Amino acid sequence: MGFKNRLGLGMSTAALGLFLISSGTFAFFNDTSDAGGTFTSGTLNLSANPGTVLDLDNIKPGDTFTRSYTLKNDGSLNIADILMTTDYTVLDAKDDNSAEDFGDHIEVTFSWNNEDEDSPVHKKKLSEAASMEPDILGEHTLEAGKQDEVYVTFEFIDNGKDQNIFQGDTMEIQWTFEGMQEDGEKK
Amino acid sequence: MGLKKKLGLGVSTAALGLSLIGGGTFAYFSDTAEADGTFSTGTLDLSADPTTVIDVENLKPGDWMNRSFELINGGTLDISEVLLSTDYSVDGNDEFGEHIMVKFLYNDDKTIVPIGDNNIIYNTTLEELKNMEPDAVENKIFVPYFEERGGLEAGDSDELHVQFEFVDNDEDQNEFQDTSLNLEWTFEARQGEGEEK
Repeated sequence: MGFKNRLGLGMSTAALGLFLISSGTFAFFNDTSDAGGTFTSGTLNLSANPGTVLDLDNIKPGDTFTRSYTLKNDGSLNIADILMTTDYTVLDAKDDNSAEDFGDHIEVTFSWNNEDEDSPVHKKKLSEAASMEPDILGEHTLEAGKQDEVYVTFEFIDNGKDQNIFQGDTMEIQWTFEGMQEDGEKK
Repeated sequence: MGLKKKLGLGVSTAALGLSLIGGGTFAYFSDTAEADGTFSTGTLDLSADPTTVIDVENLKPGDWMNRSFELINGGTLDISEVLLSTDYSVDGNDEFGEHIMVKFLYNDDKTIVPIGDNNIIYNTTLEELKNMEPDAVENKIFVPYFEERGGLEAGDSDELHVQFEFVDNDEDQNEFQDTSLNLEWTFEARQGEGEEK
């Protein structure tokens, strides 16, 4: 072989070697495997029917009235608590109530049973209820897909005194029911 | 001999000598012998069983689930490294993955409430797991796991225990009602270091 040829061959061999070192050849064995899963959350859905509980006229001290309405669980999860917020406005017909709150004279009772023997879940003056957020479900659970009747009794308390300032007055009450989930559990 | 002739002879001798150095004449005795051998490579085979690790519905905040699955070495080579990449798609609010925690456990958790701190190898949200590099995940989970239980030898299988929790963060999480998350885990097994055989 001529000297030039040998030199050339040597150079290309060196070039090949350098190329291999710089770019790197990586060869390892590996294998992959897939695994997966799905998480789907449920729904919490509470509806109250009818929306307007009562529309009462011509009431006087001592009158009581009971109405019922249906609370329905339309979701997929059980409802453990129903928190109730009360809002009311008094329309003072003769503007003579001054500091007296009509809400102090109305007592509201919630129960899940129409029988008197059953102790109610909630029994408060309207004015007190307004600052609370009680759980009217109590020990009960409203299961998914089920509905239950809640009985509301109103009493315009006759306190044995002059309550004439409330003549002609109207009260508008708005209740908001918030259904809450049960505690987390192992699934 | 004349000077010219001597010079000429000297030059030609040098030329001959140089060419001998350059070209080379070889004359030697030689013999050849043959030897051969076979190289067969081993196989690296990792599978997970079951492939559906979890399928849970009607979740609410606070729920937790324990699941176990097996990593099986069906090959002939020992597996000493496992990398995990996580991906998921959400049908609903994208942030669902931030509210699901996954705990990788050393041993099965048989408690009734979600606890067991010294049983936890690594604890993170699915969203964080998705954004981690697979070898960072390996360092957090499989390096301690294999240290505790030994590597995954050829023909062996090992149980991996996990605990998922839809965390109740005491805030309104109603945006996650009726949301579905589809989780995909890809385990990549790698061979061990090269060794003398």
